Amino acid sequence: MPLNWPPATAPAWPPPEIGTSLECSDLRTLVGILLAAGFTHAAPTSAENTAYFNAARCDHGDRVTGRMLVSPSGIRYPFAVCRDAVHRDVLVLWPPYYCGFDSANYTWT
Amino acid sequence: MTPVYVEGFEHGVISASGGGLFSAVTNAPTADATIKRTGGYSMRCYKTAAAACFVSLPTQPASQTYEVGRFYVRVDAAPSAATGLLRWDTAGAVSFYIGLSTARVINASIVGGTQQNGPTLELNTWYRIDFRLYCGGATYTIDWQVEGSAQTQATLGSQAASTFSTTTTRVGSSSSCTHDFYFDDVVISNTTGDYPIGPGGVVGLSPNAAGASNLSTGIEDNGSVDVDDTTNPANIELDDVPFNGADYIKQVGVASTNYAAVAFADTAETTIHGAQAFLAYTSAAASPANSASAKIYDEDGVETDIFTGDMSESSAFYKSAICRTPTGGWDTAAVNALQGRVGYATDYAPVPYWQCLMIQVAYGTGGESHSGSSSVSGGGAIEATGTKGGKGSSTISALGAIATLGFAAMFGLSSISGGGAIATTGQKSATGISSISAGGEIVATGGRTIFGSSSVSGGGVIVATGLKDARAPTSIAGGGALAGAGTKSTTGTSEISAGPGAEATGTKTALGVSVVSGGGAIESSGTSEEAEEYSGASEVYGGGAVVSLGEKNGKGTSLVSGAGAQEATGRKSTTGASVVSNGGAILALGSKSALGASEVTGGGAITSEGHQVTFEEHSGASIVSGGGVIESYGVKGIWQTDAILPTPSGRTVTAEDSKRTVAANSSGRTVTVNRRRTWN
Repeated sequence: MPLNWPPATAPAWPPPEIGTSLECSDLRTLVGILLAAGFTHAAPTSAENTAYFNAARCDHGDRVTGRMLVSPSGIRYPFAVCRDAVHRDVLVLWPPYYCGFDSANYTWT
Repeated sequence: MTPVYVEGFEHGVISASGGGLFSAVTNAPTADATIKRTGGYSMRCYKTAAAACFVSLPTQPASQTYEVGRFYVRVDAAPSAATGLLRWDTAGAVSFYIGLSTARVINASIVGGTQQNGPTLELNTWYRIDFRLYCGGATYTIDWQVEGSAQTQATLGSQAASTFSTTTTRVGSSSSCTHDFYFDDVVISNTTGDYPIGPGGVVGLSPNAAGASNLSTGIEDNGSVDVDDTTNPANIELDDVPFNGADYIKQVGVASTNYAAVAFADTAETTIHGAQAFLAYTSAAASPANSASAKIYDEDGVETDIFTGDMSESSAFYKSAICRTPTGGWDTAAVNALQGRVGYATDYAPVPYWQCLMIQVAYGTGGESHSGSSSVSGGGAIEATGTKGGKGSSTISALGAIATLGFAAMFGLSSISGGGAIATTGQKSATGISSISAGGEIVATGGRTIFGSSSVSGGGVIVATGLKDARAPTSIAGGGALAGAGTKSTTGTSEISAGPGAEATGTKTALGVSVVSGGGAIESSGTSEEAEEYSGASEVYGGGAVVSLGEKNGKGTSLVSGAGAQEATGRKSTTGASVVSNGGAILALGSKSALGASEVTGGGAITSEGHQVTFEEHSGASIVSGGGVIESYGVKGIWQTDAILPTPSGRTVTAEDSKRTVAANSSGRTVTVNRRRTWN
C-alpha cells in the first residue's frame, strides 16, 4: 500500500461534476476523462507539496511527484507519480489508491 | 476477421484495476447475471439520478484510422436526456457517437456534423449495432447498421487526417441522465473489411481440466499443495466466475520455465471470429516488485502473454490479451485446443497469486450473416438454410430458384423477384416487403405472417398453406391460380384479383377487403365453423361464379355483383349490403336473415328457400326488385321495406307461409300479410 496516501486533507472523491464514482486504470485515462469534463492541469503549490506529496511514498516505497487536476469549480485534486523510472506508479484517490506498474505513463502538459 | 477486443462481460467483473478489463469505470455500471443476451452476464448501466454511466475500453491499438465493431444494446428505460451509447474520439479530440434520444431513436453523429437518425428502439429488446468509424481522410465517416439494416452514413468534412485515440473509447451512457441500458457481446476490429461483423455472441470458457503442465515443486494451490495434472489440477482454483480471489495458484520458487497448465471448456460454435484471454491476479504483498507470467498456448505450439511482469498488488488486478490467430485461422478445434499456463516466476518475492483465467470467444451465428446486402443475385440457385434473420436487403433476385428454409424473420426487403420458383418453408414472418414477384411459382408453407406487402404478384401459381395471417397487403394478383388452404385471416387487403381461379378453403375471416375480383371462379368452401365472416368488403366481383358454402356472415358489403351465378348455401346473415346485383341467378338457401340491404336486384331469378327456423327475417331493405322471379318460402317477417316491386307484369313475387309483412310501403300503402299471399 502507498505510504502517507491518500492525504487526509484531499477533497472527497469523486468530483461532483463526475457523479458518484470514478475509477481508472492509469493516469492517461484519468486525465482524458477529467479534461473532457472541463478540468485543467496544474502544478502543485508549495503548500500542496507540503500537505500532499512530500511525505507520500508509492506502494514500493518510492518518492513521488505531485500533479493537480482542477475542477471547473476550482477544486484541486492531488495525484502523485512515483519517481522510479521503471515502476512509474500513480497514486490516486480511490481504493487501493494506486494503479500499479507503469500506470503513470503519461506526459503532463 | 481479426478482432482486437472481445468482451461479453462473462468474467462478471466491472473494474478498472490493472486496465485489463476496462481502463475506466464511471458511476458504477454493473455486471448483470439476470438480463443478458448470451452467456452468463451483460453490463448494465442504470441510473435513477441523472449521471453518466460507462466503461472505457482497455487501451486499444495505436495509429488506427478504422474502428469496426459490433455490440448489442437493450433499453429498459429511455434516457432522460440525449446520450451516447458508444463514443470514440480521434487523437485530435473529435468525438464519434452512436447515441440515443429521449424518444429512443438511435442515431450516429460526428461532433460538428449532421446527426443521422435510425429506428426507434423498442423497450426490453436486444438490438445489434454494427459500426465502422473512419478518420483517415478529409471526411470522417460512420457507417452503421441496426439489426443488419443499413442506416444513413454520418459524415464530417474538411478535417485533417487523424487516428483514433487508444484510451477514450466509451461503452455506456456518456451523458448525465437517468437511464437503464444493457450491453453485451462487444467485438472490435481495426480491419475495414470486417464491417459489418454481423450477428453472433461472446461465450466465456473457464478452465475445466488439467492441461499439459511443466511443473516444479514450487507451483502450489492456495493450501500449499503441489499442483499435479492428475490429482490436483490447477483448473480447480482458476475457474471462478465471477472472477474472485477465493482460491488461487501460487509459485514459491524461481522456476522460469515451469508452469501449471489448464484446458478450457469446449465450445460448439463453428464460426469463430476470435478470442481474448482474461486474468485476475494478486500477490502476497504489494512490494517489492516480483515477476511472473500467465500465457495462452495454442494449437500451433505458440505462447502468447496475457501478462508478464510485476504482479505485486495487494488487491485483484486484471489483465487481458487477444489470442493470436492460429495458422489456418480460427475454428472450433482451434478454440478447444487453447490452454492457459501460469508460472514462469523469475522473482517470487512477494509470492504471486493467479486467481482466475477465462477465454472469451467471439462467434458468428451460422447462417445469420446475410445482412445489409444491397443486392444478392444469383444466376443459379440461392439457398439459405437455418437462417434466423435476413434483414435490410434491398433486392434479392434470382434467375433460378430461391429456397429459404427455417427463416425466422425477413425484414425490410424492398423487392424479391424470382424468374423461377420461390419457396419459403417454415417462415415465421416477412415484414415490410414492398414487392414479391415471381414469374414461376411462389409457395409459402407454414408461414405465419405476411405484413404490409404492397404487392404480391405471381405469373404462375401462388400457394399459401397453413398461413395464419396476411395483413394489409395492398394488392395480391395472380395470373395463375391463387389458393389459400387453411388460411385463418386476410385483413385489410385492398385488392385481391385472380385471373383464372381463386380458392379459399376453410377461411375463417376476410376483413376490410375493398375489392375482390376474379376473372375465373371464386370459391369459398367450408363448414359453418370454418368459414365465418366476410366483413367490410366494398366490392366483390365475379366474372364467373361466386360460390359460398357454409358461410356464416357477409357484413357491410357495398356491392356484390356476379355476371354468372351467385349462390349462398347455409348462410346465416347478409348484413348492410348496399347493392346485390346479379346478372344471373341469386340463390339463398337456408338463410336466416338479410338485414339493411338497400337494394337487392336480380336480373334473373332470386330464390330464397327455407323453413321458419332457418329463414327468418328480411328487414330494412329499401328496394327489392326482381326482373325475373322472387320467391320466398317460409318467411317469418318482411319488415320496414320501402318498396316491393314485382312489376312489370309477368313477374311473380310469392311469399308462402309468411307470418307477417309489416310496414311495406309501396305507393303509400301498408300491407300486412299473416298468411300465404301471392301477388301477380
